[in-house]
Amino acid sequence: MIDAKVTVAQLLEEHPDLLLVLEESHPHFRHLRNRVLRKLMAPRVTVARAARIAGIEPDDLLAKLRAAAGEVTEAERSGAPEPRVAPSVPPPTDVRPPASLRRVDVDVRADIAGGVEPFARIMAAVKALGPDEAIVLRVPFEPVPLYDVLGKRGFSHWTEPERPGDWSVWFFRAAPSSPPKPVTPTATPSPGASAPLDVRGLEPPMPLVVVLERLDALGPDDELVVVHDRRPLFLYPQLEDRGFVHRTEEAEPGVVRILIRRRHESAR
Amino acid sequence: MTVTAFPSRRPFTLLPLRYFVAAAVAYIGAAAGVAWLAPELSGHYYHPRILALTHVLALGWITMTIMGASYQLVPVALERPVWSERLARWQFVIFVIGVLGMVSHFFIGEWSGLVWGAGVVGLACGLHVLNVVLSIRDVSRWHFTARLVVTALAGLVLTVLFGFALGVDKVWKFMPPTLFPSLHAHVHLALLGWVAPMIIGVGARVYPMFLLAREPDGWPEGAQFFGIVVGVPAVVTGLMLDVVVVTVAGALAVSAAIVGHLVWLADMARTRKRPELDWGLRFVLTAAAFLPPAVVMGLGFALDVVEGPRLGLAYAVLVIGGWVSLTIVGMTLKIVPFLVWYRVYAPLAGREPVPSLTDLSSPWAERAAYVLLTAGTLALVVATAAGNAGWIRVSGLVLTGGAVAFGVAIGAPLSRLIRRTAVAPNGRLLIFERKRSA
Repeated sequence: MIDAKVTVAQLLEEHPDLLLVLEESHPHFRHLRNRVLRKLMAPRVTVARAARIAGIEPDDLLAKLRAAAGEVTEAERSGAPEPRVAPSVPPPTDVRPPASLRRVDVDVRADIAGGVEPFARIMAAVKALGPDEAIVLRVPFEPVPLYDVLGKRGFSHWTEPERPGDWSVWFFRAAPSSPPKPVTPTATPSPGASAPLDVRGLEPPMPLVVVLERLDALGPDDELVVVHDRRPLFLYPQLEDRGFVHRTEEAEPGVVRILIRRRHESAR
Repeated sequence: MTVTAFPSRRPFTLLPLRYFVAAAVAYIGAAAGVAWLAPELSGHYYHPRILALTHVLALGWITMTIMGASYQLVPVALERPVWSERLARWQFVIFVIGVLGMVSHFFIGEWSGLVWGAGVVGLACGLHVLNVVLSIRDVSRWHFTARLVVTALAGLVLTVLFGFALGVDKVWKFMPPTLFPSLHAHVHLALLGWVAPMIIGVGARVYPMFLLAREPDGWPEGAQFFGIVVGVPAVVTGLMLDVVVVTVAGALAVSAAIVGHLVWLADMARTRKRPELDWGLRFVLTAAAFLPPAVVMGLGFALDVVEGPRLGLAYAVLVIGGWVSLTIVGMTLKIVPFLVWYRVYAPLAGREPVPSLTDLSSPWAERAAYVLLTAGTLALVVATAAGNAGWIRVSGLVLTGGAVAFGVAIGAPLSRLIRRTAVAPNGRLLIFERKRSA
């Protein structure tokens, strides 16, 4: 059953034809025809989030998708009104950047047009960012998943559509009065850490880079689940060097899941 | 579902790079050798210096690269760590000594020294086979790549034994007096029994990784595997015993394997998610374009429709210089930057900005290598077929330029072993000397 929490990647994997329905719903979804954008966005965006990006009601989009997929909900069978989709994530912070910040331009439009994943380059720029600097990212779409990723690192953003297919997004550190919330040990994995990280289809060494980028955000009891198309023999030593333990499950030929946790002192 | 706490032996990086550097030196030397030996190459191929040149290519370039690549690609393609780095290090030294011994004695036509050199090469090859077999002995799934790697190792052992026997026969006659059938069988065993299964097998696993294409499947798998395991023994036996019908049957089976490989490659290229090909992948796909004319010529020789030493040499250039060498150049351009990146930058990834593989490469050198090596190989096919020494020399000079450009192209990432770089926020590279660790 298609619901609001299904990612666009899962949706299109099970129902490739629904891309047409998405496109008919809003022109924004035409970006999904771009393979790089689809690879970047689709696994990270739920149907509810996609609807909000496109500025349409999540329930309306869900209804269209279900109808096109031939699905009938329990509510439709019984005739009872279906509960409305509640916002699952808070709206991203969107505040103007202070005028005193020095801008660092990162233009990834050519990378995306050339089929190159820009995530590593963006994160490299973020890591090198000085305290009085802001990244101004130029992208051919609104990089909504990046708002969450950088928001967790204490970055605010300000988005300026330049023209269709051309966006400028400022990322800058939040004001000192609202410092990023420190990661505290918790018994339950955080939603960000528990979401599987699918690195299938990335060219080496990007799977390794993407996984290592995610390790910093992993809490003491969190578990990172990586979906890979092979056992990453080059990744394992890097994990162990950084104090992580790992376990590999082969769910089916050609699909492995690597479960990564911080090594507890008692386990050393 | 299988769950494993997987062994995490550290992958080798410097070791395969030694092999790649030595192989690149051999390739540049062989390309220069083509220009130098143009008069000999315009005549009959059975000449001590041409045999020396052939073994620089077959052992110093092709086998050296495959051995080095095995120590990087076996862990990736077969998901098993290499058994012993120490053994692989010793094997490298022994192999280099053996190849130098063989080539130098071929060059001066001194056969007892050649036998000693061949023995040393045989020892090195035996150690390589032992290391790889022990690495993959507990592979969980004997998929296409694993089966072809084992086939290739068997082909290497048989090729080495066959070659050693030919060398010993130069000193103590014990083989049939007709030399050429045995010589042709040895060459085909090396190319079809050792090199081809390794390229086809590893390519099936590695090409989708680089092209971002789906894993290939379907009838070409059976065509390739059975085409090789049935066809190669038939070709070799048919050539040795001069039984045309067996040779033709084997050639048809091998042709089916090649067709299967090309179908897979075309399917991967068509379904790839990577819109733009880098120079490494362009080399690989261009190399495959040399296969159809090579198959036609091979079938022509098997059917006795095509004959003569000049066309024989042109056929060898198509296969060795075209398909095999250009494929190896392409894969080297992919593997070397990765190994350097892994050694220098993987420990920093996620902690500080690191360059991408593209940042490590030298696009102008790769482009120059592509243009010169492709043009030089095509020209050499025509020149050897025509038997024109002048054209062969010009082709050899073009190839030498291409091989040097290839050397520069792999030298660029290798230089990062001593100079580390980082990516600045504006996308520019910051380069600074690596601190020596205590």
